[in-house]
Amino acid sequence: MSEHIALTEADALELLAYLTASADISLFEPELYGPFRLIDAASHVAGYVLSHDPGDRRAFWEALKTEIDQKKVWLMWDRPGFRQFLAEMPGKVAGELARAGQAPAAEAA
Amino acid sequence: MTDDRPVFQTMKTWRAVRAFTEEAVWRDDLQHLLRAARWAPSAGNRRIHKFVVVDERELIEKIRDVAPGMLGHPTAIIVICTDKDKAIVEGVKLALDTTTWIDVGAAAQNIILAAHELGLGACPLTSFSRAGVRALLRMPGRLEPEYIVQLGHRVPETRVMRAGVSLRLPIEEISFWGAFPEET
Repeated sequence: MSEHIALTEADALELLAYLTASADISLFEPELYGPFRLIDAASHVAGYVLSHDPGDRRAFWEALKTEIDQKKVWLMWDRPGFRQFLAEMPGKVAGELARAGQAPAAEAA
Repeated sequence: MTDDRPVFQTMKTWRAVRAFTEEAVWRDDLQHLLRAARWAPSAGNRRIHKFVVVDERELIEKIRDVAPGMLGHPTAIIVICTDKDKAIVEGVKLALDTTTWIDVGAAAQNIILAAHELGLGACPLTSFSRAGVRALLRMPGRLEPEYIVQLGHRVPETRVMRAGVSLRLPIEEISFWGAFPEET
């Protein structure tokens, strides 16, 4: 995995605003909105990475962001589908971690 | 057919729009939307709400940072606020009186339907940090932001949906007629 910058301080401040605002409104919003904010934050992270040219990993980040942005809104009309999407996403990210030689198991070995 | 009448068509064909082009919303149109908000009902005609219009791109983007529900990039927003000083003058007990929130919803719906009629996309937004929006707009303490209507020119969206998912509940599922049966 490359060592290039994925997040500037300005990006981090935007993300901080998003995360703190999400924490604030999660106090009173429906329970399922919490997972929605987290997966949407993942989309934000992917967006920041893409804006700083991830090189040969661009395809992964683009596919990740596209899938999240298409399926996160299922929360509004297809809750079983939304839950299934959330359940599947960590496996996809872990697969990329493994391919990048950064999976915890690989590090331990 | 009743559904063919203009107001029914407007209500029926409206959809929450979350993807907007970069084209600005004309200020004339924003003025029309403010008039539509003013035509909304107000409990006791107390008129305790104010409408803050923002059409500066950079400011909207900053508000977006504290508004997790703002999934797209609207080119204008209208923030519906409760004027707490006016509420005191009108004798409104804000902590107890739910009609004030109902009035917010009525004004918002008027704005949304009027926007659709003007060919604009609109989307309601309540998932935002009140403190964040207050700070960014330097709102006086008497104003409490309650609801944001996102506005802009729509980008045609292709929804990715699983097969068999229905967006509309049957009328029979959401409505009842007359008194409910006595419990036995």
